[in-house]
Amino acid sequence: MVGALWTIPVMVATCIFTALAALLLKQGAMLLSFDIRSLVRNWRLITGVALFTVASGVYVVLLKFEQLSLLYAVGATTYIWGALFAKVYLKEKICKWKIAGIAAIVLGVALVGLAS
Amino acid sequence: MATPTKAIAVLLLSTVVTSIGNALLKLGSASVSLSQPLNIPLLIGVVLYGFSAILFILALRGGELSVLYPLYGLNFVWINLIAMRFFDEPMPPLKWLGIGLIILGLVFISRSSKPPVEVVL
Repeated sequence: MVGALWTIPVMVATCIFTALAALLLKQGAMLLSFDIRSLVRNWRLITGVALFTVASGVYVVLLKFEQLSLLYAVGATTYIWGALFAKVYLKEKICKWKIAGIAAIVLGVALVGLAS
Repeated sequence: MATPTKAIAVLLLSTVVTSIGNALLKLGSASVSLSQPLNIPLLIGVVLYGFSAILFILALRGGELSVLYPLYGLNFVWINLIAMRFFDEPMPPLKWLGIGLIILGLVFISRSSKPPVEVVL
């Protein structure tokens, strides 16, 4: 049962931003070097961390208005968005094993959420 | 590009550290009050979260996002096992099925990260 109508689109947007944060962290990680100046200039890493933090904050707020089980189920789709961003922006190959693995994980997370 | 086992291992370690941090945050938040906003479990939980983020970034440096990011779903496995063991939370069969599927997904994704075997004739 949906708690409030606005929570689902907000959760979907949160998932997309979380996956985008992971993409930025990946891109930032590839440019990572262990000196302060380079770390401060690594806007991808900084933006990725900031996006993750904001998305987590939004998730905590959504918990007040929506059932955990539904948020888990929708939240599991973040791995699908992550794979899509990896294919489009990082040109990573998405083979059948990856598709099967992501599908199993998304379903597994959704079931864990539904059982909570 | 195949994802090396080392990157997967660092990512898995990150999920363990995140889950322990989560448990400590839960423990610490139970005794938070206006007069005592901080406590040891809360502080250690925050530190562990930060450390797990560093491990996650280091793992991403060495492997594919489409392999490593889904493996982060393992957090749900550790969090629920910790909750069952230390917070006496119930584990209905549906939850066990979900955990089994997450582990199966991990196996599938690990298979995808191995480079194809070249046959030299």
